Amino acid sequence: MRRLHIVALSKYKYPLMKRLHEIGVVHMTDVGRTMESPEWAQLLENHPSDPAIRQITAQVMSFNKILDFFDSVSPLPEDNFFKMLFSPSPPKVIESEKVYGTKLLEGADALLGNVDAVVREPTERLNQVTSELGELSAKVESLEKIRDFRVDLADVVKTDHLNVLIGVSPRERVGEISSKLSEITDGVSYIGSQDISQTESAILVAALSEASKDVSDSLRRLGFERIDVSGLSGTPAEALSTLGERIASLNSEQESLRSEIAKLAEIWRDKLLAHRELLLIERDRLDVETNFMRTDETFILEGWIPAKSINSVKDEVLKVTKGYAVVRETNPNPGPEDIPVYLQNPPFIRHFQVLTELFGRPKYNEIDPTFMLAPAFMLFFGIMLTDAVYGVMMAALGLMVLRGGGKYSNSLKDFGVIFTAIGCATIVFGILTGGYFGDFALRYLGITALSPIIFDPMVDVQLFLILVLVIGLIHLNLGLLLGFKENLQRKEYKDAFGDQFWLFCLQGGVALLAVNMKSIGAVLILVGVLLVAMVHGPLFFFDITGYLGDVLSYARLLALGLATGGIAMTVNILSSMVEGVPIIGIVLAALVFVVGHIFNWGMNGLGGFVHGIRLHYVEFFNKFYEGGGSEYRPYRIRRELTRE
Amino acid sequence: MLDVSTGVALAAVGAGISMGAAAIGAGIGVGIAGAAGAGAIAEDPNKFGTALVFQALPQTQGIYGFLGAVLIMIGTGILGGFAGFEAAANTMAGLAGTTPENAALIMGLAAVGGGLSVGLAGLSAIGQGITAAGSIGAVSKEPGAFGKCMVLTVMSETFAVFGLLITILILVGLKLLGA
Repeated sequence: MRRLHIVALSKYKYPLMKRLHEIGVVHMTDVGRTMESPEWAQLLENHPSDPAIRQITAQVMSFNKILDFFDSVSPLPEDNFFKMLFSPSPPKVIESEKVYGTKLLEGADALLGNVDAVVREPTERLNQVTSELGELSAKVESLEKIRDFRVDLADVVKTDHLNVLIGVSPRERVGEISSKLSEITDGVSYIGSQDISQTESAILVAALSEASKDVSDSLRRLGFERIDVSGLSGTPAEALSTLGERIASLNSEQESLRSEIAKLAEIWRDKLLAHRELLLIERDRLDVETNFMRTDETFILEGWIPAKSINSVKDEVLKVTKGYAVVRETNPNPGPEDIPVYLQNPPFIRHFQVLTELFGRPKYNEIDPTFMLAPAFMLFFGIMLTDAVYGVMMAALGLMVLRGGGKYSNSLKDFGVIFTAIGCATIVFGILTGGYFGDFALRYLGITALSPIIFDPMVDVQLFLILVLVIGLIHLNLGLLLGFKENLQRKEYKDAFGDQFWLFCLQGGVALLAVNMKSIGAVLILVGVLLVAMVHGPLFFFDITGYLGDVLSYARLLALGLATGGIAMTVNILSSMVEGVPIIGIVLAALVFVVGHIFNWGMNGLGGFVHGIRLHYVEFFNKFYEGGGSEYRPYRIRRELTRE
Repeated sequence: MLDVSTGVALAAVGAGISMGAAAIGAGIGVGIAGAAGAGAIAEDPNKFGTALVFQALPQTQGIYGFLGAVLIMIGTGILGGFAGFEAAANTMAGLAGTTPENAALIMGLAAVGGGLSVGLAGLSAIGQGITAAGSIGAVSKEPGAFGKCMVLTVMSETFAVFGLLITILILVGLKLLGA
């Protein structure tokens, strides 16, 4: 990675930025932060943001509004989770013209105008229809209550002298309402009622208009709910059928409006989507300028660029600016500068990068541990799942994801490759230890050809334990070696000896003691302990126990390996037990077998994955790796839909 | 007719502790994580997958307890009933050079020890559930923290793994398994 500085004439700014956007290799940084000295400050000022950005944002919002409306009327089909994983629809590609700058903005305005002209009228009508439908359905709901009330609704009116009301109230209140009413109106009133349900009665009230306020107040207090029947005539049942006809006609109008809009959506949606993407790209292109500084006639930009791209970018810059530019590149200062990291791994290993990045991407001058992680992760997972059939299931899942969702999604592709790889590792280890649905092949089918090849984990547990601890020791020492080498290269000798080298002495000493070379062994152990005590101070004791804990932690490979085999065995036992049930025994046994093994595969697959990662993050990385580097995010065009 | 009933009883107790105590731990842990998951889903139903993965982590202690119980039952032969235990005690007596009564007692006590180890270690799921609950909240807010939160959550499980390991080593060491 190299630091890039470009100074150029302002009149070439737009074409230059456009070209760099297309090349897409420069990671832009804020010039202002690196130019804090007063000398620079006198010379340069911050680059203002382009006024077009505001216009673009407004346009994008209008586009979103129309597109959201289209989506609400005729939603685009979307893949569900499993379809996305195993057989996704190909991503949409829209051919678009090569437009940018003012022409693009004008085009967007024109497009907005065109779409608005055809969409506005049906939209407004649709809103009217929808709100009227809402009102009508509320009216129908209340009229339904008094459906059987024998009254002509045309008579329920308010005139200069007479006020007629209709509504419902609780049944037990009818008498109270009647007496209250005659009290208020001195008897100049009429009340008719009819029970409409177990709890409610329909009530018709007629009183003089001059008393209508008192009447309606006291009615409300007594639990009377008025029903608005203005504009209706005939009995409630007749009115309901009139309303029903009206609702039906509105519904069909709504339907035809929606299909009209859906047709418009079909015509315009792609154009809108393409234009929106072009606008967003244009905004990206302009937004980057806020990182620059400028003088009256020039501007200055800074960024990071991978060393291999430096020459081609230099040529391009000089070509676009016709030579009116200065391009300078410097080596980064290790240390204070936050240098973005561009990871490069060979084809297969590359897919495991995602596991390294989950912990943290390497820092600039740090080794990328992915090349170690990939094989070790496969091995660990294989030991923890220990079953050839489960391995086949895992690999099949991986291949299905790889051939399905992996076609269009990079992260699904990564996981497809990882699942396939760890599935294959599991197959190998399963064959070596004779695990086929646990002990199913051997004990129940009696296929002796599938006996364990190296050992049976359930029998030779000690051997298995020693094997995983040795694997752990090798793994940890590889980490220590890497750390030692890194520390030497960085000339951090104190760390090299205090963090890593003392452990080589200590382990060597213990090994020599074990083969009876007591004096040399004791000396080596002493050297190791002294080294760590000198570098880490009095708490060095915990470094020793900590390392012991790290090694023992690899025993989880054994525990999880046995757990897979043990639970598989249990499933087989349960399955053969229920087989004894008369008649449906065989079906039950098959059910227990299938569900049990899928459960075991899923849970122990998850366990193997998580613990495989953990052994790396906690035990292995701890020896040499810190992570925390920042991502290399080049200034480039992010296209999803359009193709020029 | 041998009197090995004490041994059988102890073996049954061992298997019971193994599953029972681990189930308490796993159940509480999963419950704690699940409550946090429900909260996350209430805000964003798309977090169901994340919540489910974290909720599944404290479940493993229950599986270890179950495995421990089954291994004890296989090792002491009580999966095959009283006769199975008697046969295993006879074999054991031959291996250890002692009477079948003594062998039965050894097997029973080994089963209790093994059951205690994996069963009590299963209570670590409670702690794991608490971390899982925090992680569900963290990952809902910051999906990039998934890997790190996963590691934090798996930490508690180390002790359950060691508990299971010791159970297996007890059973293997006393030749209840593997021989």
